[in-house]
Amino acid sequence: MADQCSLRLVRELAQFERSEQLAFTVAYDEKNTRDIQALIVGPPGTPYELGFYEFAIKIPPDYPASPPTVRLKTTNQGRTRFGPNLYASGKVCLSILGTWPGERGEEWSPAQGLESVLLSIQSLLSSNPYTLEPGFDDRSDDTENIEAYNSKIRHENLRLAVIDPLEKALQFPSLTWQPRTQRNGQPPVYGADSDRQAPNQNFLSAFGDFSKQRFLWYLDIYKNAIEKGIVEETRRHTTPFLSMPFESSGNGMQGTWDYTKLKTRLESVQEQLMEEIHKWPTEGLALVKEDAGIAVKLMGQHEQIVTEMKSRTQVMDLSLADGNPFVWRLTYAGRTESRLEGGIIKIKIFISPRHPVEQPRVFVESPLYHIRVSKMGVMIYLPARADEIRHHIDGIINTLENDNPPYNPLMTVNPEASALCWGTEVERRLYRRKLRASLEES
Amino acid sequence: MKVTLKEWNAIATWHWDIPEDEVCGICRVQFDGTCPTCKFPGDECALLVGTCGHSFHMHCLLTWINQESSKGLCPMCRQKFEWKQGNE
Repeated sequence: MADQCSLRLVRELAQFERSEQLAFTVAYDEKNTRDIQALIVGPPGTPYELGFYEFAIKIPPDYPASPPTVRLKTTNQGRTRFGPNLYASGKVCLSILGTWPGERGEEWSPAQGLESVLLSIQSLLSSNPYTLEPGFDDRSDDTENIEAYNSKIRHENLRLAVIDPLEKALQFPSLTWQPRTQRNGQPPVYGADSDRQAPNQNFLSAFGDFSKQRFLWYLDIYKNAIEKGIVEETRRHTTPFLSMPFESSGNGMQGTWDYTKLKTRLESVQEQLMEEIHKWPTEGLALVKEDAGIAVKLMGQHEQIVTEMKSRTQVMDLSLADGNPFVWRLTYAGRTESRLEGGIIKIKIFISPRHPVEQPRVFVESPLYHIRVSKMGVMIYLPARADEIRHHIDGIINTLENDNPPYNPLMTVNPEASALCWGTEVERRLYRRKLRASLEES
Repeated sequence: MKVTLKEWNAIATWHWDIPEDEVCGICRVQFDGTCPTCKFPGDECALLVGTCGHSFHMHCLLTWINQESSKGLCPMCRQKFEWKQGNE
């Protein structure tokens, strides 16, 4: 039956690769697909907002007759219970996983799969986790406790699921790519010994770049949350969190209020991330001198894209900054009769020497008030495929030109512009006006 | 002009009487393909059509139904799984 297990698993994993999922991602070693690392991005609008929650998933040999086993790895090394069903030990209490008694309709069946498991876990990261505790589901009038619980989760979400993983990813940057560049061509090994290794090392190997990229996307939202926290904690600064009735000393969420410290750490992470990106061009130039494969490939891709652009009517220019294939400059002129008409948008694309393991970072350098561009100019876009730069360029242009994108909180990088763009008629007009004003400035 | 047929070869295709793009809810392979344990599609790797309206490869379903935790329920809708007999 091992055969049945792996065939079904291969289908599911292939499906993951095809789907454009912003809410979760998986990583695994091709040689051992039964050990899967998964990361769920905390749903916006919940206390877990945009945190990086990592899980180790093990697939039993008789899958899909039996459910996978799932452990939460984002636990502050076994010290923090992130929710009533997310124990400090890493246990995930969920009827679909058989770790919690459930109604007949909620139990595991072979019609369930990785995606439904991840969606179920995602639903545990809810806007009101307090009522997920058994026996507390009808306590929605416990407003004081509910607010106390949500506010300490918000603090720990930023501390343990955003800043901590980023600091670790910056501390050991090599872990994100070194295994792939080994001469013997072996793919990176993910998670095989997950229980024996330090949990954070696994985190880095699989999702370091994923988290870095998203951190830059969502930075304004993290900053807003911290500013709000600082205002709220004036009276309770450095005092301990309140304990919840269902928490115990070994399985709870203990800590102290200190948003001021989180602010300093967040700023330092931002600084280091930018430093890292600004090292790529120098590292890249060294690779150009060596005639390294990646440098040659990028040069070739640039030449090809420029040739193709000539046949388009669009006014666009794509050049390499100082001839360096690791820094591209895209100059885009808005089409006539489009919202971007008359604007000249200057975009700088940094490409990592470890591309595509580390994804490009895209910054808009000219002023642009846009729902997909953050205050510091970071642009969020989705390339059809991550490996070729042409797909990145297409993704950038499509994002700029898409006047009516559907609302997606996970693509919100400029909270103020998004509120206007999807607001009342008056607000929508204000958004268009601000966009126009920024284009005129450019 | 008269044509004389010397020889002819008949070729036929078949598929299960089920929409072509439907997949087995357990192995997620199309019904016209086989379950993961078989090599050739056809009578050897039959389908079971449940009275609840859900179909599966017979081998896939039996692996599940023979397991105690299944409680004899359909994996999709969790009603008691009973299959239609014969050529209904």
